[in-house]
Amino acid sequence: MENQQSPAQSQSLAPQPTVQPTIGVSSEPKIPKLVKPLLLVLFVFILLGSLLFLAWKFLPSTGWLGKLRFWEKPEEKEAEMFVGAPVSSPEVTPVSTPSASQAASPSAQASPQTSSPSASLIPSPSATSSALPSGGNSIELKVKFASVPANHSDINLPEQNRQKEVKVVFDSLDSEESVEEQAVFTYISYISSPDYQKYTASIPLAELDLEGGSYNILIKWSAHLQTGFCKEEQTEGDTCTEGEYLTIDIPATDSCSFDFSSRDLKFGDVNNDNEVNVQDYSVVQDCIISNVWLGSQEYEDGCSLTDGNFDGVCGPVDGDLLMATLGSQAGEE
Amino acid sequence: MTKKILFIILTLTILVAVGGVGGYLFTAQKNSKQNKQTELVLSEKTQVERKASFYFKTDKQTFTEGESFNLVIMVKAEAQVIDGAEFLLNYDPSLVKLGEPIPGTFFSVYPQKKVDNEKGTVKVIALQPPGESESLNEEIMVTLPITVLQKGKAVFEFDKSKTHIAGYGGQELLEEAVSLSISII
Repeated sequence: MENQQSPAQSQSLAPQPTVQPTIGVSSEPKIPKLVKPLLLVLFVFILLGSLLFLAWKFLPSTGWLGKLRFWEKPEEKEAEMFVGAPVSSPEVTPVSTPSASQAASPSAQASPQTSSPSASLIPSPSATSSALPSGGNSIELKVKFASVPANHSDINLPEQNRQKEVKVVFDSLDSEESVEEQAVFTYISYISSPDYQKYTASIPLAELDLEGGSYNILIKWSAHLQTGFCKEEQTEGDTCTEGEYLTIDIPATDSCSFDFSSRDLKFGDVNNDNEVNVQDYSVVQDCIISNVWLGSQEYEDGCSLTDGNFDGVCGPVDGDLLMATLGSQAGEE
Repeated sequence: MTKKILFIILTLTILVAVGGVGGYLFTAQKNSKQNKQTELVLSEKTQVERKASFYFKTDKQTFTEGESFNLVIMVKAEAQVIDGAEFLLNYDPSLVKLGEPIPGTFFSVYPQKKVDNEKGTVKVIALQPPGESESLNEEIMVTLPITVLQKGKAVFEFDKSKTHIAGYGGQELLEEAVSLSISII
């Protein structure tokens, strides 16, 4: 059955005189010789360019893949390898001395909650300065956002709002310079934890270009007022005097911890201009009237900033929270 | 055969180029979304013209020592929706003394109405309640009871950096805040 071939097929299998297909012969001479290599060069060029671009955008800065980032400075790489964790290069910006609203209270006391000798809260005018490096130690910070969670119930705090990227500024009182860091604060939901319902963050010291000395620590999340801390257990209206500051020793022998949860971070600076006024209230009003909630496009597009108690709903409660901040500023003019 | 190779090379080139551009646009969009979050908000809101103003209303502009009168602070907004208004007013406390501000009827929430007769400042913040959005033509924001202390020329001047009228998703609507000067004889 298989060996049976038609006469036409057997004829085609037989050796034939060389006859070029007419199509191939006629089109070949029309392509200039240089086109092919040029296209190849172009292709290789675009391919390399695209690979470089994708590497620049998406290659992680740590691990063995991080070593492939050949365009980065060697010292940056060393710093990253030293910590063994992602490092964002700290931005150093001059910051003026804390304002009157962030300063003042004569009662400077050493806090019993200081967790290690490296984080002394006793005013020490002759603080020693020394440079990095400092092992794998970190500064741990604890804060509390006003009215979060709503009604003191974890159920009112959606998962999406349990982590907040907060700006932390280490404002040096010795050098009049400051170091700024974006730290991720995580909500503590374990009832048995002493930090229950606080947000905590741990910043590796190696990520900070800090020198040992006296500091005020300024903390700000996008829609909350920046609050300055110079001691632990600093309460509302208890601001810092000239002689009060936090001392950070570097190199540290241990991690240090500062608990700022006694003074709530106040909601209201929705437009992030470092003050709370009717313009912020107007933004909140707009989101309340638009009936915005977590998951809606408006929430993602910015109304999340008007959700003062992080409950996933932009409602009258958030307006009330902002009013409370506006009212509490009465004595701070 | 040559045509086939050329076709493959061209296709790959186009694919790589499209992939690169797509990747870039994706990353750019991601970044712009993050920036939007930290800046603000409601960017699709149409810009509203600034038409609102603060001005004073008094019976007269010349007073005698020891005389008392009411100084009315008005908000004018040509039917715009005003979510809130606030001002910081400076005066010479040696010439006049201010009493407790009396709220108007349009705004129902006054988180702050504070007079400091030592510094010579009045700070008032007035808001519509959360979720309400009435339009405003011309309303009394607050009435200030004033007692004249001594001869001179008392000037009531708004601190422009702390004087705002806001609406439409956080837009500044204040066009002008007119100062007032009174003579005390």
